[in-house]
Amino acid sequence: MATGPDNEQQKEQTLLLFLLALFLFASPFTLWWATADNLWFLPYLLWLLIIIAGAWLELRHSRHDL
Amino acid sequence: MTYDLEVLFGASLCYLLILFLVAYATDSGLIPERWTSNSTVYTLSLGVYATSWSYYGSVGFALREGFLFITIYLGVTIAFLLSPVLLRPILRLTRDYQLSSLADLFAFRYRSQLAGALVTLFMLVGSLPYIALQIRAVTASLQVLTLEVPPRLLALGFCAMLILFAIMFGARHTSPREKHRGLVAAIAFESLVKLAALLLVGLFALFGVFQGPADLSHWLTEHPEATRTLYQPIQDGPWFTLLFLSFCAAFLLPRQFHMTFAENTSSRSIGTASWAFPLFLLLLNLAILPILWAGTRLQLEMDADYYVLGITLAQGPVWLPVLAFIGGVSAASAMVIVTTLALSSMSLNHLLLPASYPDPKLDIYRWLLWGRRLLIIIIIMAGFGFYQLLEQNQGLVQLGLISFVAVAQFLPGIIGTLYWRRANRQGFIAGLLGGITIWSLTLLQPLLEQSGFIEGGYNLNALLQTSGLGHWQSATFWSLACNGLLFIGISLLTRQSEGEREAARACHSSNTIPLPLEGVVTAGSPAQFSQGLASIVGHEAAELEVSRALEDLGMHGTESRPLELRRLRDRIERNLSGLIGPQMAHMIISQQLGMDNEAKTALADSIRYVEERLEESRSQLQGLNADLDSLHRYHRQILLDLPLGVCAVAPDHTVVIWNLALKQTSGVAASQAVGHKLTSLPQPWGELLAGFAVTREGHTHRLEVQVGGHTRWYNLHKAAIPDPNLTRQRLPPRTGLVILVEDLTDLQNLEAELAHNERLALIGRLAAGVAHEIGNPVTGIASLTQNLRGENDPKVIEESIQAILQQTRRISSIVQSLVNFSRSGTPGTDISTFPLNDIMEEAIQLVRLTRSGKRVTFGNGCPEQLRVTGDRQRLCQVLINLLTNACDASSPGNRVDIFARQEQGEIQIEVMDQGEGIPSELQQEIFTPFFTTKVTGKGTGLGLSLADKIIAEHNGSIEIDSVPDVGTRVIIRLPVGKEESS
Repeated sequence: MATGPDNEQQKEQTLLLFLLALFLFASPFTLWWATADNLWFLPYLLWLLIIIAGAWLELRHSRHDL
Repeated sequence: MTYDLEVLFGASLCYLLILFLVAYATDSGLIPERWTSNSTVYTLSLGVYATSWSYYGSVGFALREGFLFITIYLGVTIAFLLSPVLLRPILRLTRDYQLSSLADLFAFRYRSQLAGALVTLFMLVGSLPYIALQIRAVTASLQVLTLEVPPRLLALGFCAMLILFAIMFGARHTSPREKHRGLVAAIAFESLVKLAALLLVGLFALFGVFQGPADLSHWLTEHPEATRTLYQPIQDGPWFTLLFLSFCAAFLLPRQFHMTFAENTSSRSIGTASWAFPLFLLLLNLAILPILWAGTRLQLEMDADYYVLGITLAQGPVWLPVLAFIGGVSAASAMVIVTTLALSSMSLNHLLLPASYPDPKLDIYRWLLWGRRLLIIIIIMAGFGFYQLLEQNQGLVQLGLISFVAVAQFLPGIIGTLYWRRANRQGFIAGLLGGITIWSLTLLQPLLEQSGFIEGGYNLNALLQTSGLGHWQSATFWSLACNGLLFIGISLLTRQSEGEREAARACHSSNTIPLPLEGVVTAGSPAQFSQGLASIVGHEAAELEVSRALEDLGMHGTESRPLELRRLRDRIERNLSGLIGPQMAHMIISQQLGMDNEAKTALADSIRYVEERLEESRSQLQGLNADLDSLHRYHRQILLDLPLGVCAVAPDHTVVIWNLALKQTSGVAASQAVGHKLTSLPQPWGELLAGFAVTREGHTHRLEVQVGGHTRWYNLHKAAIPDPNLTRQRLPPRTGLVILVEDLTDLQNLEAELAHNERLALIGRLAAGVAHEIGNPVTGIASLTQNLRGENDPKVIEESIQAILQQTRRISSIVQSLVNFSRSGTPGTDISTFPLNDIMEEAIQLVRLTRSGKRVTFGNGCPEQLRVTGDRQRLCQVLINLLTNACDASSPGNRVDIFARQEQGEIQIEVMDQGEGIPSELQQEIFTPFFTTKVTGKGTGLGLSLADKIIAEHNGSIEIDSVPDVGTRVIIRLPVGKEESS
């Protein structure tokens, strides 16, 4: 189980990642990348980016917990 | 290419049998537990989210709405990224309070059976079209592969298989504590099958229909509209609305809530799932666009929802359509099974039980199990009924999204549960009803109209869409806006019940430690708990639940402490909550295990409970709470490490603190003492401390106690600890106590040693005088004996003999005095009553032998008949010390007088000299050990301090009255014993 400050840090970083996800997928920036000129797999790449960032955070904190 | 219905039916039957086998092998232990109870299996089991909508419908959705299909998974990704602040708190609540569904969670938080029933009904209404959709996906896929309409019986057979599976592997236990490992493994297996099938079809599209990625890229260049139509809906369509809806669905859909929380076996798994589950969804979606484009290239003349089958039928190997079909069966069956289990649990707790509670004579466990099984049958058959009535032209996505908007109505409630303490049941119910109404009018009513159930209803959509929002956007926005505004407004305008406040505290943060200060359970023992519960749940179930709760808490069946019984009551309520739902459990417990709400529990009673709760949740404390916890630990450590025995007891004399020093002093470990009554401690401590706790005196000095066959001495002190909470509430004081145990044994032994040494020193000082005093009569005896040699006169001989005998008696008297004084003995063990004059004479005789004693004149004014009770030798030592000091202070020729008299129930002894006196500034210090005014080597400084100690041990007192250059008077007061007073 995460200790208090570590848990707090994880929450803060999670919220930052959430804001990044909102920026990519739920902001005017979404309308910017969603143009026909872009590659068809661009949304998948952005999605993968968020997943990798989430995995990095989670694995980092779970290592600290050990 | 077409397939026979029998072949496909056989294939799906084989697949379902494999599923049974996986579940059975897991449940029976044939598959090792480590293979099935891990994060990977948990993550795959969450794949139940991807239903036939994802499997088949995504392709059609992508064709119609471009990249909007991806929002259904991006929202889930965002929800799972937020697991530390969103999913983990819900998991904690469901585990701590044994809540198995969203309806349980709301009924617990808002303390309302109506809230639970409403949520259940809404879930049922929202989910039935979704279940129907799964059945339809299976039959429609059969139709695609066989090119004939499958008989209704086939759909019924599919439902029957699902009912059988759900009953066999999803309704094995009544308590949510028992996880259905077989079910989880089977659902994970289904996720794996649908992922593998969809990826294989995707690969076939890429390499079978197209000639690889280069060919696909070339085709896309030639058909730029294919990409353009993908991106266009992001600009124009309900991108944000769908993102939001899937965010809500990720954890609010009944099947997601069930797999994420109710079947979770490890809190670590949710961490892994936070990224692994989105990755699973990403992989699942990789195949969608290649399949869509393959279908477009092949110009399939079919509904795009079934391109997954269509492209394999057109060009694929013969096994691929069957595998694709199995993947679809897998997606549909997993959804139906898990949704049904979740709904059956909700319906049982919030509809069936409140409507018809079983007779206590029945076996309640059996009743619940069969009730749940019956509900599984009813729900799947209702889904089947809905499927039969449903208009065939409804798209898969449309039916799914209706359910998504339905579950999004629980978002305000869940935010209130986790983050808003003020939220209350009136607000929640009003908000939910408002949201349901708008959802019904905007989404359900048009669906029913299209399916021909109803005609000519009120068209709210037309009115709402005047705002410029699209269909989904307006339905989602207006239903949630109405829901949220009613929820917030009514919560602010109305008051919470006490039960709700308590539940809100429990939900709001794990850092809050609710103190059960109010109310004491009226039942006095676990046996009385069983009796109380038996009238509602039956004798066997009552005893089983009580013993289970006792086991959970590590309590004994004879437990009778009020606070522990309160904890037991809470534990039983939690366990029952898992069995029959939180509100029902709360009602039964409140009714059958009543509380005396007037009685208050003192803070001291709660210390152990609070300590345990703090210990459990320490890792979650943050900020000021963490600082307070550190401060509390620091203070506690001071008490525990204090080199003085500390024992704190609650008002009922239950030990709450037993520190290390007391453990070393008493030999009783903290674990043997804490939580037990003082009287039940090992002897002699039980009797000693319990007796002291009830005495009126705050201190007991030099208490002699036999411990392990040895005599030990203790000082005991106690102080009341008034409870600040009770004082604040102006309640009658119920004070705990802190008892300090000071072990004086070492000091006592040291003092005895010092006294002995002091006596030896005194004997040494007396020895010279004694030797001289003995020498004179010995010389006289020698001379007389010499004269007797030549003496024949009988008269002279007789006189000489008398003189010799007199000298001998004198020697004997001196020797006897010295022997009496110097013999060793254990202080305080030789108590007798004797004439006071005897020891006075003895003391004078001995002191007279000293150099200073020879220079003064002694006077003895003690009445012959005056008797005193005490330790003769030690009292004599006191007199010798005082007389020696008097002689040392006197000038040659002075008098030293000693008087004694009995008056007012005490014996007063006075030693007076005409010496130089003691300056007033030194009079306070002369009883201090090692304080002396004599030159070095002449005195140890222990005489008066020992005299003071000895007199104190005789319950007497000693005081000094001295005038410099006039003289000193030492006054000793001793109590008169029974013997001398008579």
